Amino acid sequence: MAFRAAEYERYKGERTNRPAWVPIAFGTVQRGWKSKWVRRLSMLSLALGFGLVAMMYMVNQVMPSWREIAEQATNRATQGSGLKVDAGFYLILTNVFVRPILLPLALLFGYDLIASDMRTNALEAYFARPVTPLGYLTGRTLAFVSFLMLATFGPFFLVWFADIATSPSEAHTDLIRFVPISLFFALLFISFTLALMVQAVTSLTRSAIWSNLIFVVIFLFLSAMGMVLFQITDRPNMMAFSFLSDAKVICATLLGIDLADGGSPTNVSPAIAFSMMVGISIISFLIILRGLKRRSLV
Amino acid sequence: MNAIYATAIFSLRQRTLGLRLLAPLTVALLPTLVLVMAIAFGASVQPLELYRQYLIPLTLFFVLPFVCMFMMLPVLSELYDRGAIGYIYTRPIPRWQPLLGMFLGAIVGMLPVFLIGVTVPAIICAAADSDISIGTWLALVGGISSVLWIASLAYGAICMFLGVWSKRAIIHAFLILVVLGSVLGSLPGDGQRYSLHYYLIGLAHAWCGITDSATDLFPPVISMPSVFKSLLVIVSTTIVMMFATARAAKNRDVL
Amino acid sequence: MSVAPALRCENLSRWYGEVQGLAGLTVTIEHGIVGLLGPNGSGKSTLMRLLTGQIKANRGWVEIYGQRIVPGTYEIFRRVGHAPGEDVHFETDRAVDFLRFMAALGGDSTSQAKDRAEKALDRVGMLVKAGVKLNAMSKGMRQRIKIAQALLFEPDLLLLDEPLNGMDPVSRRSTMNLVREWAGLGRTVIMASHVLHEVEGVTDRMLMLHHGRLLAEGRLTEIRELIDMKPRRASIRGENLRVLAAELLAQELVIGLDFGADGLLNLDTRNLPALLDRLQEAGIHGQIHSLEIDDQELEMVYDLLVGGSAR
Repeated sequence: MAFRAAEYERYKGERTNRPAWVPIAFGTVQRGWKSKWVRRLSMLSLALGFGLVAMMYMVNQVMPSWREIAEQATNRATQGSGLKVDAGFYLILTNVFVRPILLPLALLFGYDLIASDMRTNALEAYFARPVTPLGYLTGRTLAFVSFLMLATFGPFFLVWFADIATSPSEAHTDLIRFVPISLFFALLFISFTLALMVQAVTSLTRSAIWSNLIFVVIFLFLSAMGMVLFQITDRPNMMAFSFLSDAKVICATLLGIDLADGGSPTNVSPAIAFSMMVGISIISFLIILRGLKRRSLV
Repeated sequence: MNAIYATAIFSLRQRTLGLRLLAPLTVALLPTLVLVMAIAFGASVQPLELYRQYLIPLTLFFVLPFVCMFMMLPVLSELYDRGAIGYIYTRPIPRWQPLLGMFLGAIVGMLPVFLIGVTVPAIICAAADSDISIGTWLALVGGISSVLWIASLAYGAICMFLGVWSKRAIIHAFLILVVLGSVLGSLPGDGQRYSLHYYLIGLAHAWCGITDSATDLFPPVISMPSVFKSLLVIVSTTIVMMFATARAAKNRDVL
Repeated sequence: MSVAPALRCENLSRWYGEVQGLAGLTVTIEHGIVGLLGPNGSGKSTLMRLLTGQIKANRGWVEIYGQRIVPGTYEIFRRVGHAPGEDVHFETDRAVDFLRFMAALGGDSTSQAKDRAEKALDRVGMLVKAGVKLNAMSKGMRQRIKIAQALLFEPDLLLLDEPLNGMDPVSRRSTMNLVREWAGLGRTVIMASHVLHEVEGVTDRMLMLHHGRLLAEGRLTEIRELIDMKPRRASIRGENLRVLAAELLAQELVIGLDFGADGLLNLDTRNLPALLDRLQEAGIHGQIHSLEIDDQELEMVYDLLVGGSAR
């Protein structure tokens, strides 16, 4: 019996011109959002932001001059280094949104992002489509960074907006006018570095448990190491080992705050902090790209 | 006994072959990196003090729990994640036997890691300060190695238990070993008595002569636990945790 | 040999959260080969895991050779060999090391374990690959290694979960021969599969699961009769199909036909072999260009048994 393949008509319709990384980015957000803890942390961060806004609104209703009262009260308690609602106040807020939110969120969101694609050979499927390794990485990283920004910069912006909306004077408005722009770029830089670093580690380990462990070491052990080295050598630049310290210095620098403030410096210099972050980003980018290109068919 | 021995060998091989030792060894050698940098950047502290007051506390505070996590958590987590634990649990032996074997194998795998982690900086310190006798260094290295090995029994048993009992072993291990262990044990006050770290400090105090630390990683020396009490707590924790592991393994589904 | 049946389940049920893995399975298997048939998610692997004590039943019980499987049961597994369905191993091990380890876990000394491992490898034709690492083997080879580890201790009850997955035709045949030989010695083999003809190649007895429930239990010949009674569909393309269709109707080789899009002729028949003979004849004369047969046998069986709601 003679057999032949059934004839078929080739597709002649329109094809989309949308860049291939766009669906990857959407898929990344969907995948991250499926994690219960990612949802909880993001919601917690936004709830904190809304909580602060509500508190500021209520306090403002009762005591319109609460900023001065708070400053005077804390001045008395701390002998001159009281709480002033200016750029420094927003730097303090980074302790609320960067340490407890940004770092765990980055880990929870990204620890298995590329690793699972490598383990399950999904990368081959992506690269068999018109997706380049760079496009894949762009999609993943953009979604990752956007998510981190939403969870960290989002609440900052809410607080700042409430602060501006209830500003008692033009002078106060001037003090905090550029805070969101500075913080936006600072957090974008930190989130970008973090997103690349998380993806680089997971692409090397290809294992969720190993990635988690390595991250805990990077964030905790190296921070302690920086602190110990600073104590032993009296060189504040040793604090560069601490990712948290680098992040703090970057935020402070972009907010125009001098952390030493006349005294002896206890933090890494801005140039070194920026160099560390840029170095981490470049190395991470190269690690990921190498890992992806090894799996690429194009 | 064959089953225990076979799983011990299997576990040792799994933990030590290939690049598996790279991460725990890196962690164990981080204090060495601190030392090298301190010497390179002209530390004002003498090598012996540097070793006793900075490196040993750093080792107990960070290296011990993290090496234990690196070496012990994947022992079971990897098998559960891949589904390969089913091969072991369908053998005609009680489940505690392979678990004990895996525990012993991984513990043996940890010994050289700790030994390298404490010996290398001691050698560097000894080379930097030739006034201190070799005997002093040997006593220090022997003392801290003994503390680490004994501590690894308890920390390792906790990790084994969490590997079986919890599907999020890493988070629980971090909370117990680092937060409840190192952090709580280093805080001044009565709370430290509920931390294993406090009893390790008791052993380090007796065996290495460490009475204080410049890094805030040791609590102020007010009432150190005796060696007997410390050993009792550590050994009891190990036994209790291994029993808990056996019980958890008996009841856990392989999924 | 014990007088107790190889396997008894009574109202055996298991849920995964709100998903029903197995629901109220009651079955007794004395000895011989039994095929465990069902599509993916029907509960075959859940049953295998329950039988080997890897998961606990939410309700009901299971006995193997009269021994009830509860947490802490292990002695009875001396008589059970299990090759899981998942493609999992200790990846970095060599085949012989993996089997030696499994043998040692069964109580063998080092030398005994080595002998036993080599014997098992030989039995599945993999002795020449003893030194190859498992992660360097093809899926079919790893399947045979899994079967070898199940055979290590000459089990009375052999549980094979999708054992032919990924095997080439030669390995399939030798594995099927092995299963038949094993059962020929009076032992029991339960072979899970979702491919009807795989099971048919080794046994006539089967249990059919669907959505965690026992859908049918019996002999495949009875099922075959049901299948043969149900019309089968062949779709052809070619030349002068209207003439051919009229001829087939006249010869009563088809019970119905219709012309689909693009000149496709769909033929419904209760006598597929005779129809194929006739079509082959037409094909030789160049009258037929393509032929497709609806070969979803297992789905057809489910359609028959659950009244068309199986899919």
